[in-house]
Amino acid sequence: MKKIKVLCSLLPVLLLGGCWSRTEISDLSIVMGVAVEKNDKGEIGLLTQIVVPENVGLGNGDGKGSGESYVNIYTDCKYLAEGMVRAGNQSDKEIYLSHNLILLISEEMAKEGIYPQLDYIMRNNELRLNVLLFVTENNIRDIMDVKSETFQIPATYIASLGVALGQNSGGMNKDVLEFVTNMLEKSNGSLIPIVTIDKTSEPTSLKVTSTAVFKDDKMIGKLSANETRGIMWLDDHINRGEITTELDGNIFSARINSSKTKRKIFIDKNDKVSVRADIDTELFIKRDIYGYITADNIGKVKEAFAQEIKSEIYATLKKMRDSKTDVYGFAQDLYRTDFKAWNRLEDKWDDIFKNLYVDVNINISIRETGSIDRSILKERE
Amino acid sequence: MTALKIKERDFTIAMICFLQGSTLFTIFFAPNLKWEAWIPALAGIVLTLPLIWVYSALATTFSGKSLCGINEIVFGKAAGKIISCMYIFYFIEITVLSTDNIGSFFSDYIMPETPKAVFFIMIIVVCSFAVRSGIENIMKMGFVLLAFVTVSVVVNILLLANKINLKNFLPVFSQEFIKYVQSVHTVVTMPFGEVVVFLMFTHITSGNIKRGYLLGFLIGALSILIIIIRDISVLGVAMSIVSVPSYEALRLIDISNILTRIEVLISFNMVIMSFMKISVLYCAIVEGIAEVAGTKDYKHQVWAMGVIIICFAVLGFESGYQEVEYGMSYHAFFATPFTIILPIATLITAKLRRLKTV
Amino acid sequence: MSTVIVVYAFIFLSDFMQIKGDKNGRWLLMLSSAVGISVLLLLQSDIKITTPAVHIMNFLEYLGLHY
Repeated sequence: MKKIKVLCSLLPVLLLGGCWSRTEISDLSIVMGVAVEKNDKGEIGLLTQIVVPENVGLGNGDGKGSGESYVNIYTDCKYLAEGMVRAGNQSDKEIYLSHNLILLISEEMAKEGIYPQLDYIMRNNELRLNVLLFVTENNIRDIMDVKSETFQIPATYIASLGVALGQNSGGMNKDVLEFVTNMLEKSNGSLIPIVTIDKTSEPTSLKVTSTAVFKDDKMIGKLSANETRGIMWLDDHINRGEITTELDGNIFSARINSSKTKRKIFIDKNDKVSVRADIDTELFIKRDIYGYITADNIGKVKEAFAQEIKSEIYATLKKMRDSKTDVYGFAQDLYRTDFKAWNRLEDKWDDIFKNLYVDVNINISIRETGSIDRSILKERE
Repeated sequence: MTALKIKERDFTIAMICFLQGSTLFTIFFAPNLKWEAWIPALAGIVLTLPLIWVYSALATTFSGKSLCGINEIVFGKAAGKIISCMYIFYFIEITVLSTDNIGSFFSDYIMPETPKAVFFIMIIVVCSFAVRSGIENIMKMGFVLLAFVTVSVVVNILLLANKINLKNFLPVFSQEFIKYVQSVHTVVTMPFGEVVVFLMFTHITSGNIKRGYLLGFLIGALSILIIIIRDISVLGVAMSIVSVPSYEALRLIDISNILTRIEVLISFNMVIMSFMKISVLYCAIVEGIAEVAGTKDYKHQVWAMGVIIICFAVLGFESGYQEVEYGMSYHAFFATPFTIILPIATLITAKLRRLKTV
Repeated sequence: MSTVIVVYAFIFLSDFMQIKGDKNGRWLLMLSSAVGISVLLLLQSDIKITTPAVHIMNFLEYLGLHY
């Protein structure tokens, strides 16, 4: 009797073991990257990049096929959801978005607003909120076909560029969560890196040299790498990077080893808002060919670097003020410190931001001079 | 005198598990307050403490009697039975809600093509076996399950450490006052006040029940608070737009592209804790029914009750929106009589009439 | 559906046979099974029924008790 009971209770396991949602890996189209653009008809052109697992290998020895390790499927659609279904039909397999790394948006589309696309990305249960966002000026079909020696799949190549951005301070990489957080917060600005094809290099490669400025979900302008850094200094996003300055005809170059920004927003009784930012930067000298720096004049060099940073910051600030885009998150700062004041000033914020006084204090420390601390040119004199 | 089958330690641990089974419900008070959802959770803990005192006072005043027995002593035989039936209906309702929730979570996130009914049936079948083996065994199991879940919660907080942004907690008290009232009310009645169900088992618990109740509640509630704080610090404002904040936060785990996409493993602890919660409630239902009907053995009623729970869960809400609406604005009022008014009324009546069991 | 009913009947019978000398228990089991089977049949039929929570919701709405 007991054995029969055990058998009976095991029976459902056999019946229910094969779940409805079970799919063999070979029946899935694993999407690595999604790109959207506006097509000729004014609808959405959707490109999904699907990995071909058997062709992914190390060099030519591995992997049995000699074909490409990815397939690009291009479909026209009115909405992203519709496009995904069509892409699935074209690939004969089920589209599987869980491994998607990037959402690449054409500039044209970005200018019209990207929220409809983000809605799909966020709603989809397979996708995470850490999909990286990129804007491109090039045709998405071209850019999703550029690969490098190390990355056989363009989508992973672009994603790696985004990760590298954080390390060399050339821009800020932005994932969906960060972007929608910016949209939900009181500040209306956000930045997304622009990836372009570098045609001068051989073979063709990709680069990120500028950043798209978003007001809410619409792209309104572009910033160069240096201008982007002006924002990153105030936003405490600087990790690494090179900085160059000139003093008495000498050109100094230094590597930013670490940088920390403390930002505080003040509001006085007359509702006058001001911002104070204290930046602590540690530099390693990388170029000083005439051996100019000595213990006596190191202060002057520090000052020159500080001026350089300040000019970067203020140049961008002016540009942002003119376009009334608060990419720094000052409004959110104000809301966090004093939400009552924010509720009072919300309507006037554009004007306040335009005349916002930003006080920047830079404290530079030059820790190392590198492996040599003198210059040969100077020693020979 | 009934046998004291449950140890105090197991009782406490089962309560912790029971409360952790509610982590999926944070959605019901999060959207209103966004990044301030920790405030009602904290306030809820403080405000529930007197209730916990009331529950444990009931349990010690009427030692040897379960909730149904207490009702019969205090309100008389007929009225007591009616009140007990209402309690049983309340337990059925929250069991159905929990089952519905965990089933929907599975069919939304993990196996989208599988019908929800399959999850309901599997959960209830497993729980039925547990219930048939007796509440003392469910509670004994709690220790192992809690150890597993505690480890995984600690590990995933550590893994999320690089995503934590403490600025997300500011500003505080920026919303309208009524929203705080609503959220605190929801928290007190929804996950915290539900521990009233443990009154069904206090009469078979040995040791210091007051201490067991208090410790179990405090640790369980604090663990919910910690999970909410983790979600806010990771998600920030976006907390208000995602459906299951805990799961969405866990999905962000990414340690240099190696340790990533592990949320399915971690989501097991939601399942385990839900299993504990549903089993305890289920057990209370069948024991309560058996006691009201005056039968000796509740075990034969388990399967019949399971079918009713599955049916109600399958009936379900028309949509997820309706469910959220119900959880946010209505459930608190439905649960208030059972978690707040009736226990307090019972205790006051008992004190006035100097009723107690020896 | 018929499978479900058969399984249900099997469970009911095995439980029912095990209750010996307990009249209340038998009545209770019959009652709860009747409720279960009627809900099951209603689920199959064209009559649209909803979960009790929706009725609670409407009732509370009627009383004006909601946020």
